[in-house]
Amino acid sequence: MKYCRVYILLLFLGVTMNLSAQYFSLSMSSDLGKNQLAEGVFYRPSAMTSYGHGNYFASTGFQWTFSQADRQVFSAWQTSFGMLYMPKEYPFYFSLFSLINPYSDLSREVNVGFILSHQREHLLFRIGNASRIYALKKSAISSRGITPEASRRIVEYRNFTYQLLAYLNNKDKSWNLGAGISNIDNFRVQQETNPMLLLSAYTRIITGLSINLDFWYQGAGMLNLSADYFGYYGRIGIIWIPGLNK
Amino acid sequence: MDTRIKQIAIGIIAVLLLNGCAYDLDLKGFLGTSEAVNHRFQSSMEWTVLNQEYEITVDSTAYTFLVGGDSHVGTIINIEKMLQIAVAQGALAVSVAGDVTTGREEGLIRTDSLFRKYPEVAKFIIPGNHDLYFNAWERYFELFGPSVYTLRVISEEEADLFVFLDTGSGTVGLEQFTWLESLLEEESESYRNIIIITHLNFFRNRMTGSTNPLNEEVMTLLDLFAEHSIQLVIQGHDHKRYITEFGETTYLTLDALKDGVKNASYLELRINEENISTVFHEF
Repeated sequence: MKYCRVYILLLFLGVTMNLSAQYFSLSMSSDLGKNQLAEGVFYRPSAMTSYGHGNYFASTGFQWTFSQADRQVFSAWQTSFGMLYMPKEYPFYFSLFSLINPYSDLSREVNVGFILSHQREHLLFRIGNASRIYALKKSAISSRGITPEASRRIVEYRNFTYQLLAYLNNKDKSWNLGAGISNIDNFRVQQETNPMLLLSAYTRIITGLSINLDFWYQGAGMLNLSADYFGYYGRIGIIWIPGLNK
Repeated sequence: MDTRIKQIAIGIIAVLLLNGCAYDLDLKGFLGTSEAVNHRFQSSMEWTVLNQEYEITVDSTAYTFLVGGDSHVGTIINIEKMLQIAVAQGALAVSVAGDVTTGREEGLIRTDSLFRKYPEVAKFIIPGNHDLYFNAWERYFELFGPSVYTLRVISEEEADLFVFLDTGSGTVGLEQFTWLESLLEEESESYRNIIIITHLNFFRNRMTGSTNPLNEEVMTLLDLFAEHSIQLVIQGHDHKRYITEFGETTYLTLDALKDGVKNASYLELRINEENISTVFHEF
């Protein structure tokens, strides 16, 4: 609930900042999927806002998870800041990000890192690094009988992040269909050795309003040459860029 | 541009072919294993119903237990040394935390013969990814039994629980996870120590191509083990020792037992009334 209030405040700030910003966008999406951690399907709605001013941009977003797994409903908070560099006709984006996943009453996961993105006519590349922290929540130490001396965190400093998407159409077309491989999603950073397979489509309904559809397949153990099914999820989302429909 | 694409394609094909020539790799495993983890779990549970759960009764609450990982038989120099040391020391049992063999028939047969040579020590093994190569699961199961099981070590005063988990194909899977969750929920209060042994290591403490369970699964297992104050989780797979703690739980990744590996070692678990201590012994 606390995080919902923070989000509404950020959204309000976003709309008011839009008066001076050169660019503002709001995206909302819903994931529906299954995995090996709980019976039944999970549902993960999320919302993100982005602002751009000159060559600089910032974004924040939240995700909630409803599933039979013993998890907190508020499941992720992402923020990023970055800049655009356009040496010729194709852009490079550099961004720093943080991703907090308040997993359960007991533990949380935090990722911080950077991503360099580059877009061509038919290709999108993203590479970067994420450092991951698994942490026990302070409240768990007293309430769960865990001794204060117990170790509270594990840090993985280096995790190569990547995304490669190949699109059917030129990026300026009003619709597109792509396929690729990635270990990062808006609210998820997998280990570098756990690639996810991605099918992605979008269409512009009117100027400034697009719908996107994604399908993600998560395999386990592929690089161990002993692969199994882990899970999948589908996503439907809208992206609204208010300034563009005027 | 076309030439460059051709060169890259030829390079990729050459690497794949060279890997394919590597005798112990099974490239089709990239797409899937012959028997999924849920199937292996079901077979293991059926086996346990027919054959009883493992239980060892001890006179003293103190005992030693030797654990190695990744013997990749093949050759048997180090794994046999570990068995000989176990016999000489009077260790309660020996365990290999996955990748016992390369999945080749001759490796499976050689391991079975080796184990039969030392009947005086109990052996508890689990499959790793290599044990599942070349559709080896059915043969592994026939020779060595289940991939998921428990061992109860019972003395007059205390009892310890060892839980052997199958992560050979990258995930514990829904059925095994549900079983583990209810096992810990129902029984964790009844034991002095609970020790988990599995193949895949959870953490990326160094740059390595070895693959861990997916991030959500690591988080879920960390949470479960912290919740039930599991004392020790022993893992293999990465061939390089690493010890870390999260809450009350110690996570320990083993060196490999594999012959010819520079850092080959096994772990001696010393369990007594006070605590569990761990000592690595290099070959």
